[in-house]
Amino acid sequence: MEPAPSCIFGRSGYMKKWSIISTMILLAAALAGCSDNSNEAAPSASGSASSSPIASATASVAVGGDINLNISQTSFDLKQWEEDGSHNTTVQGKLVVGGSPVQNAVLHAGTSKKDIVTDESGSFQIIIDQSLLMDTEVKVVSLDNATIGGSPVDQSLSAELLKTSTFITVNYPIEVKDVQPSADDAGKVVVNARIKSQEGDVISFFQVDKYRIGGVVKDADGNPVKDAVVWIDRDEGEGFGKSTPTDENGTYQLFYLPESDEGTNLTVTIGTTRYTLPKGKVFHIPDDTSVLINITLPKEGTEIVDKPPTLEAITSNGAMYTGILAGLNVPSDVAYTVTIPDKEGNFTLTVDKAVWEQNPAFFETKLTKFVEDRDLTWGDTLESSFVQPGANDPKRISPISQGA
Amino acid sequence: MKRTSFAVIGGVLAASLALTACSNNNNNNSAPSASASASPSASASASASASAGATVTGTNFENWGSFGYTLAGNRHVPFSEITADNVNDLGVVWSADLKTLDADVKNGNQSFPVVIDGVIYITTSGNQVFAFDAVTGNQIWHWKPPAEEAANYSKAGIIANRGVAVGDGKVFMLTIDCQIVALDQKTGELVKKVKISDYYPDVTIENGYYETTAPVFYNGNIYVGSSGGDNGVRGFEAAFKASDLTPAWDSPFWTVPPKGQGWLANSIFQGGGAVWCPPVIDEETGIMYFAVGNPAPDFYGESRPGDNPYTDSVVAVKADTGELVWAKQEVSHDLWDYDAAASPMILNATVNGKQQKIVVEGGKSGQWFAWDAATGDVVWDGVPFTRISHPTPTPEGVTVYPGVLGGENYAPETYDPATNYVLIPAVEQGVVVKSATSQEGSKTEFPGAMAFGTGYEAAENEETGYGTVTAIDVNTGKQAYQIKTTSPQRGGLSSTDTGLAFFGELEGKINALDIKTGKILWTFQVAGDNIQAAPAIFTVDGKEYITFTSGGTKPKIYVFGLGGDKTQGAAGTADTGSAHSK
Repeated sequence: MEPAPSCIFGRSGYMKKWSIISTMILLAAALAGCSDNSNEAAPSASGSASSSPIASATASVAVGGDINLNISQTSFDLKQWEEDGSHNTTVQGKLVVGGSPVQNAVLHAGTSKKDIVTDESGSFQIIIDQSLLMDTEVKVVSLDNATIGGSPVDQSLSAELLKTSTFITVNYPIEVKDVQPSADDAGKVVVNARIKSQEGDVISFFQVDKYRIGGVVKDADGNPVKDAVVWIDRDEGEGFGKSTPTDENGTYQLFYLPESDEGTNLTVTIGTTRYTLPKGKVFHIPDDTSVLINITLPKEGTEIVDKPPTLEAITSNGAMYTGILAGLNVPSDVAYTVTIPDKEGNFTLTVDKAVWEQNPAFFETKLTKFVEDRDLTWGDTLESSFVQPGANDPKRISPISQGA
Repeated sequence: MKRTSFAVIGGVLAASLALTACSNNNNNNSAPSASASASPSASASASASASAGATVTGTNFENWGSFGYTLAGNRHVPFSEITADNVNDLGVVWSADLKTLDADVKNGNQSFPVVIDGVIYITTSGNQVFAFDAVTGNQIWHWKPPAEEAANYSKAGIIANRGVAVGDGKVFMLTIDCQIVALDQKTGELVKKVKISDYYPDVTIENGYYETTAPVFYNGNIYVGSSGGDNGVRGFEAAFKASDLTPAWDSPFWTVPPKGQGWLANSIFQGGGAVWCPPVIDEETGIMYFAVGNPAPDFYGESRPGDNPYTDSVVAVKADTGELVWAKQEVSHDLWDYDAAASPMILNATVNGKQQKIVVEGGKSGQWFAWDAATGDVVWDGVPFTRISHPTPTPEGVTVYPGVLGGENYAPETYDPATNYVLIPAVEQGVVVKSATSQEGSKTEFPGAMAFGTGYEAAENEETGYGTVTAIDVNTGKQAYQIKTTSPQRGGLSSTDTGLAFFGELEGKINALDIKTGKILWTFQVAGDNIQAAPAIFTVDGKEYITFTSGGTKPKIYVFGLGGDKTQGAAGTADTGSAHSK
C-alpha cells in the first residue's frame, strides 16, 4: 500500500495555476503518468489498488508559513447506490497555515455552492456521493470571517489561501486487458479495456434515455409561430412533457417516454391562450421511437383540427441516449475511436501507437445526447469527437494493466 | 372581499406592537399569552385604509406556524374556546374571493394556510402569495410572479400549490417551474428567487420536475422536495439556507438510484420516488421524516426488479446533513401508484400501554403504518383503512382498490392526544388499471416513418367513489370507527383540545367532528366549493379562529370564529379531480 506520488494535479495549492493550465500541459502531465488517482496504480505497477490516506496541498507563502489543505481521502472507486446509504462517505478535511488552523474559512466543493465552514481546529467534513462520477475541486472561496490564532487573516495571506484547492475524484477503475497492433493500420493499436464496476453491482452502462417529440407550429396562414409551447400529458395517469418554446422557424422539441397503450393529450400554449385537440380526442403515441408532430393552429377558436394537413404525426429517427463512456484524456485534435461499453463494461479503443505509448490517462463521462442519424447500442464505435469529458468528469484515471 | 361587521376590529397601535413582538422560533408557534381569554368583542378601531400594509390586528398570538402546525405535523392545537357546546355559533368572520383580488389567480386551490402573529399567509394556483390580517381580512401584501413566468404555469392540472414556509423574516414558496421564492415577511417584496437547477441542473420542468409542495423552515434551513415521479424523474429532498437560498447539504438526498444502477439498471425511466409533500422534523433529535412517492413507470414493473427502494417509503434523515437514519417501505414493487404521499406525523403516543415516540403515515395504498421514531422498528404494520384489493394489472385491465387517488392522498391526518386517536382522511374509489404491454412492446422498425393519429380517449375508468374518515386507536393499532363522507376526502383534518376535528369537503362544506364518537357536530356550506386543504387554527388576543381555502373555479379563503356570520352558501359541486393530483 503505497501512497500515490504527489503531482500538480489535484494536489496543487494554486487554484490560479490550475485554471490557466492548457490542455496541452494537461496532456503532458497525463502522459508522464502523473496521477493522484490512488485507487489505480500506474500502468506498469502491479495493479493492486492502493489508497492514500491523506492528500495534501502544500505551498509556501511569504506570510504565515505553509498552507495545507488536507483531505482524508481524495480518490474513490465508484460504488453503486445502495439502500443502506453506504454509497455516501464522509471525508475529513483540514485547512492549516504554518501549523495553525484557519477557522471560519469558507470552502466550496465542485459546482455545489454549499458553504463548507472550517471549525476552530480548521477542520471540515464533506459527504461524498460515491455513486456518481465526479472530479470535484475543493477550494477556499472566502476568508471574510476567517481567523488564525484569533486574528483576522491579512490580505496577502488571504490572496494565497484563495488560490488553494485540491480535488476529490470518483470514478470506475479502468482495466486494460490487452493491447494489439491494429490489423487495418500498422500505425495504430487496439486497446481492449474494461470499465470495472464493483463486485455484485448491477450496472447498465448505456441505454436509451428518452425519445424526442418535435415538429413545427404554424398559424392558419402557414407562417411559423414563435414562442409557442407544446405540452403533452397522459390522459389516464400522471405525467407530462413540456417543449422548448418554438423558435423563429416554429420548431419545438421535447423529450418524453410515452406509456404504452395510453392516450396522450396535446396542448399548444401561446401566452395564456391554450389550443387543444377536439374534446375527447387523444394521441396514441407509438413506443420506442421519436415522433414528428406538425401543428397548424386554427384561424378561429382554440381547437386543433386533428387530421392532416393541420395535424401531421409520423415517426421519426433518433433518440436521446445516456450512459457511461470512457475515452483518452488527450487534446481534442488527437483522433481515436472508442466503442460503447457492453453490459460488462468492456470497450475497445483504437488509437495511434505513438499516442498510446505515452501512457495517456483516461476520462469517464456520463453522456446524455440526442443522436438522430443512427441507432446506438453496446459495442458501437464512436469517434473521439463524439466523446468529450465535461468539466467535472474524472479525467486523470490511470488504467490498471491486467495480469501485469 | 366579504367582511362581516364583527370582523372590523384592530388598530394601528396594537399592530405596531405586534410587529415588534414577532417571534422567530423554529415552529413559529409562540407561547400562549398568560392573559389569553376569549373575548370576541375586542376593541374595535377600524383600520380600513388601503395602505393597511403595516397594520396587524391584535397583540397576543398563538400561531399555526408551519404546514402541519408544528414541525412534528400533528395538526392538533391546545386551544379550547370552540367546544362541542358552542360549535354551532361558528360563522364567517371574513372571507375573500381570490380571483376578485387578482384576476390571474388560477382555478383549483390546495393552499394550507400558515398563520403567524396575526397574519395569514396563503398561496394560490399560479403561485401568487397573499398576506392577510387574520382578524380583519385586510390584505397586508400580495406577490405575483412576473407575467412571462406565470404564463408557463398555465398548464391545467398541475398548477396547485400547497402553501408557504415562514422563517428568518421571510416567506418561502416553490413555483411550478422549480424556483424557490423568498419574500420579505413584512412587505411581501421579493428578497431572492433562485432556480433549483442553479444548484442541481437536472431539476427543471423540461425534465419533468415541478413543484406543488410547501417548503418547511427549520433551524435556518428550508426543506424542499418536488413532484414529477410519474414523469420518470429522480426523486429527492434537498435543504437550502434560508439566508441566501444556497444548498445546506452536500447533495440532495436522492430517493432512488441513478439511472443505470441497481434496480434502475435496465429501466428507461429515472425511477420516480418524488417527495411531493412537506417533511416533518423532530426538534429534539434533529431527525427529519418524509414520505416518498411511487416508482415509475407506475403500472408496469418488469423493468424495475425488486423492492424499488425507497419508493412508497418513509425515510428518516439527519436534518442538518441529509444523512440516512432509517427507511421503511410501505409497498414493495408497487404496480398501482401507491405513493407514500401525505406528510408523516411524529407522535408522543401511547402504544400497547406505554409512551413511545413514533412516526406514522397513511399511504395511497389504504394502509396506515407506525414506526419507532428513533429506530424505524415497526409498531403498526399496514393497518387497512379502505377496501384493499390489488390484483396484478393485466393488459385487459383489473379493478383496483384503492384507485390512483388513494387511499390517503396528500390530505394530512391529525392526532388527538386525549383519545390517542389518529384520524385519517381517505378516498374510497376503485379504478381500472391496465398494464403496459412491455417497454419494448411495439418497437417501431426503421427506416421508414409510420404515420399515426388521434383516437378517442378511453372510457371513464374510475368509480364515482366516496370518502371516509377513519379513527385509529394508536394504543392498539385498530380502527375505533370509520365515517363515510359524500365525496372523497381531499383536504385533511386539524383538531383542537376540546375533542373536535375540523375538515372540509369537495362540496364546500366545513365540518366539526366529535373525535371520541365520530359524530359530525357541525357542518357549514361555504360560498365556494372543493375544499382541498386542511384548516389552520390560531388565536388572536385569546379568540380562536379557523382558516382554510377552497378551490374549484372560485377559489376563496375563509376565517371562521364564534359569533361570525352564519349565512351559508349555495350547495357546491364536488370536482373529484383527475388523476393529476400531485
